[in-house]
Amino acid sequence: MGVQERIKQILTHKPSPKKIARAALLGLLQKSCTPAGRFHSRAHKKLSVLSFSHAWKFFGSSSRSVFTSLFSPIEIVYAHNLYPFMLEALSGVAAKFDLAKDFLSQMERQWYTTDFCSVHRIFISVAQHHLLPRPTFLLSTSNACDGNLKSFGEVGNFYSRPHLFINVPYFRDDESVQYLAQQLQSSSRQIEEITGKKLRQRDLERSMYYANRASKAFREINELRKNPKALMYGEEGLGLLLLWGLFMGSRQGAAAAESYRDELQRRVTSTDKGIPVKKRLLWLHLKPYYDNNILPMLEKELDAVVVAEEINLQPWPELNPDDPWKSLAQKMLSQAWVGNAQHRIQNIRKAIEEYRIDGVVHYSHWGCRQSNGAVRLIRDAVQEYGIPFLEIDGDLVDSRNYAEGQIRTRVEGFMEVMEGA
Amino acid sequence: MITAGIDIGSVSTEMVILKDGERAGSVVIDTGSNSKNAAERACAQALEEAGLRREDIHFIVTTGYGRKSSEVGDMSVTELSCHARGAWQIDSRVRMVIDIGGQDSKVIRVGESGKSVDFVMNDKCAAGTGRFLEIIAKALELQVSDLGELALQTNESITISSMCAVFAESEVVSLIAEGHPKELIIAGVLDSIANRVGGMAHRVGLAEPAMITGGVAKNIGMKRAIERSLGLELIVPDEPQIVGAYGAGLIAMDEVVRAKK
Amino acid sequence: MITLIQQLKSSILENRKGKIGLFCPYSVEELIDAAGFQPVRLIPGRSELQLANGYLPSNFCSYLRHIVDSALRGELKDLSAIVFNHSCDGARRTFDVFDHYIGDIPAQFIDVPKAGDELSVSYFRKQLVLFRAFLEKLRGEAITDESLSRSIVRYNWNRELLRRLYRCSASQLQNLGASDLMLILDLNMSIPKDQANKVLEEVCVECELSDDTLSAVSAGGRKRVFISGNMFDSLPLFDFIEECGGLVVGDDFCFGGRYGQMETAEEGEPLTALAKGYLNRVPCGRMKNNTDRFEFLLDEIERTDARGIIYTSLKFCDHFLVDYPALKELLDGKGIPSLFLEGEYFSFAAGQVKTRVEAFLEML
Repeated sequence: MGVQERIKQILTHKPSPKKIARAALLGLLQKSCTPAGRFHSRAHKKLSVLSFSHAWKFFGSSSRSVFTSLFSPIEIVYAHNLYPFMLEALSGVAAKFDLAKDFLSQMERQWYTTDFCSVHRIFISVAQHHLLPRPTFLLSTSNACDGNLKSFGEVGNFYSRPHLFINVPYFRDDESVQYLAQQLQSSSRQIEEITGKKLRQRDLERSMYYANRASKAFREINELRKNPKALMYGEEGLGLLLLWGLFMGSRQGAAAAESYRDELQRRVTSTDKGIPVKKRLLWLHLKPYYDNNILPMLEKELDAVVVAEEINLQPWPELNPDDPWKSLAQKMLSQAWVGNAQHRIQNIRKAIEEYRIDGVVHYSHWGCRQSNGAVRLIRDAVQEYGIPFLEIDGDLVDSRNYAEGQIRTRVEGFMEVMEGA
Repeated sequence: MITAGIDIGSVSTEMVILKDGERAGSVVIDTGSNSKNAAERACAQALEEAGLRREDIHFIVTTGYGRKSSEVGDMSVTELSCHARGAWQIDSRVRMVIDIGGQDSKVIRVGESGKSVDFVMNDKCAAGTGRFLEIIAKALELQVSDLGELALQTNESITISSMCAVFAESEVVSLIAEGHPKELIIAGVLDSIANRVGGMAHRVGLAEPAMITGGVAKNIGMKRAIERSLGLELIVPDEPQIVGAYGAGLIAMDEVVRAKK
Repeated sequence: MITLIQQLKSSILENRKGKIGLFCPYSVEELIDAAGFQPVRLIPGRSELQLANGYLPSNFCSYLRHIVDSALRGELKDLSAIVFNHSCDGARRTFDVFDHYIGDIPAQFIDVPKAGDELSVSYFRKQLVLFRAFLEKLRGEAITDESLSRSIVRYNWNRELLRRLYRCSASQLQNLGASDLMLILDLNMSIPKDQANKVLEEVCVECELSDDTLSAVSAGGRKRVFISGNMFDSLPLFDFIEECGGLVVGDDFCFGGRYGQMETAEEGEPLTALAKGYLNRVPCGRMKNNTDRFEFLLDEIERTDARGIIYTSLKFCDHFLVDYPALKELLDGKGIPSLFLEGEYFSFAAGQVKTRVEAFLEML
């Protein structure tokens, strides 16, 4: 039996956190033994191994696990020598193993509206199935969406563990930075109370040092990808969010980010054939995690390659160890999806110009109102450049309504518009 | 130069043959359960009627839902580009096409040279498609073709509140039982579809002049309802159902010309 | 009762510099009032949407879409401004639409934290400083602390009167039906508070004086239900409930039963008092302490002797919809039956709602 099937079997036959840790270990061993050539790159192998290793540690050890979200300031978690684990990743994994509909069906038996983001519903269900180690605490933020407060609240209640919730302000002025900075510092104190261990200055500095190294690598990656050559497929680029969602502040995370940077650097000067590109695309939001053909259709069949993803196009500012809370607050507030949609629009404009984009695609995940509500504004801004905008709507993790034929028509129609130009 | 376009839809399949860009024959058949088969049947029938053989045709473009299943064509292009091209050929001022088919509806913005510039599709929900009209016609015990004229007989309408075509059917049945006149019910249904389509048109951005295509375009009540909803006049081509196939045939011609250069 | 409602209706907006639209009770009306503007709650007509679908997706709060539609059709032209709070993601995106596409109405965005601790109160106070500056600019004149304090007193009194009114409604139903109460609340949100207070006072007195036994007898066979929720179309719902033999004994609507559940300190620095009062009121589902609303609901259900609760919400509202599972658990634990109704702002699916309400009341 292949490793994938073995893992799925573990996940479906009376799983428990310990068993999942074992499945993660299996995956870790398999990935470690697979030659780098079978991955997209050495960097990809590194990230894959790191992810499995992290999952193994997380599921195996309750006393240091923290539930976080993609937008949580996990640098703080690493500074306290704890393991952050973003719950949204669980939904992605469930989708990948075709288990999403089972979790969703369970939620549908309860009184959760199906208009509530499926990503959130799945990880609540995963928690309810006792598949997660009991966390030390949970750490989430009001950014990027409302759903976060509810889903983390639910999971926190279920495990009877404290839910540290950070109010990310709408604005970015000094008052807002100060409000956020004070909350971050206060959260750290609360963590000290929960763990019974004081935060050591050198641990905070260490976490920030590695976060800065990773940020620098990301800035360099973003710079490198402005190259006329497409250095990486968007399908892989979107996977980078695992890096910063799970490992920002850890040594391995910094190393993995630098590994990607080195790989892309190598590809710039390489004389290999490289990625065939007919059109350069900008991808907005995320892509579905279940088996689907959307990006392969665009990138491999039509040679319309995603050369930039909004989710990675962040400024990645440096953290200042002499002013840790303020600089961390500024970093959090620098994300385009905080506050007014104009930040997102500006980011998109900049990307279109700097990456010489021929077309923009927005994946509208049902239930993600903070993102989909801005589509009209985005469409108008994109079309000012005389390039087309394609909105693909669907679910990120629930494959039940995935209709490839319908998406194909839209994708091909989009390609025809780009070619007609 | 002889080219052709085949629009293989889920309900009907159309083929148009062009001689140097001029209409030289067309057929409309039911797709049935096999779209590959339908394309072949349409082709055979069209060739026979035009007195041609397959070899006489330089290039065939297939479009529509079944465009990739057929081996009859030389190239496939989405119905979005085909409708834009066909509509623009009929009237080069056209900048927006509203196509309401049997099982889908779409709004396409057309560029200055007849290319599709932007589009919005609805192929997930019967509300806003010809299918909705069929369901309602059945509930009212009428032919779909009667619906348009009947709706024109009144200026009022009854609002259909159900968003779903299936529930709308129940709602219509209740309204009939309550004794509401059929004309008002039909007008309400047409308004409902117009509202859906209107929403799509707003999302893609209104542009005039606009043309309506697809089988439903022959329904005069539908045309008026959309015109009211959008506040603009719609051009109705002589044979709205074959605009897609026509456009495909023209794109085939464009391809031949391009290849020669 | 009808004459009193007519009285409210005929109040004219004299001496008001203009109207400022709002749609969330976390908008600090006292500031608007002190600036000489009339805060007006936006209740667009419940007709079909025409233009908003071009700007916001269809799986998006229908109330907000109706506000956008209303604005696009020019119906909000007479407003001096609209205030948006950081109520929810929907409000945030709706503000973006107004900011970018609807230029003729000045729109102001106020951030509202999700907690009422000292830090958050301090931050919210700074938001109110900015809000005051915006209003002063609009008005062309400063807002003094004294005028603000006077507004606070007026609003405190209004909220006290509403609390009294709700206590009336539960026991003297002969005189004040639920539909009448809804009408009063709508009017309360569109006329100056000092005028509203005068009339509300009279209504309260009349209610409190009415014969308790008569009401108790007539209310006898009727099944007492409490209503919870947001912008669901309450009037037809209340009519249905009464048609089916039910009796609405209370609600926790944003501008209804929960509106009165806050008090602002009348001493001390007014902006701080307001920040504290607003953030510590009985919360909306958006707040971190949303479970305090559950406590409030349970208390109210007990106080009004309700036999069950109908929980309503507009679709796509995570704040309210996702509260229901946890609330239901609490209610089940106490043996309180509940009915869950979801709907859109427009298109009140009469047949479906009626069936559910009837069936629910039969259960009680």
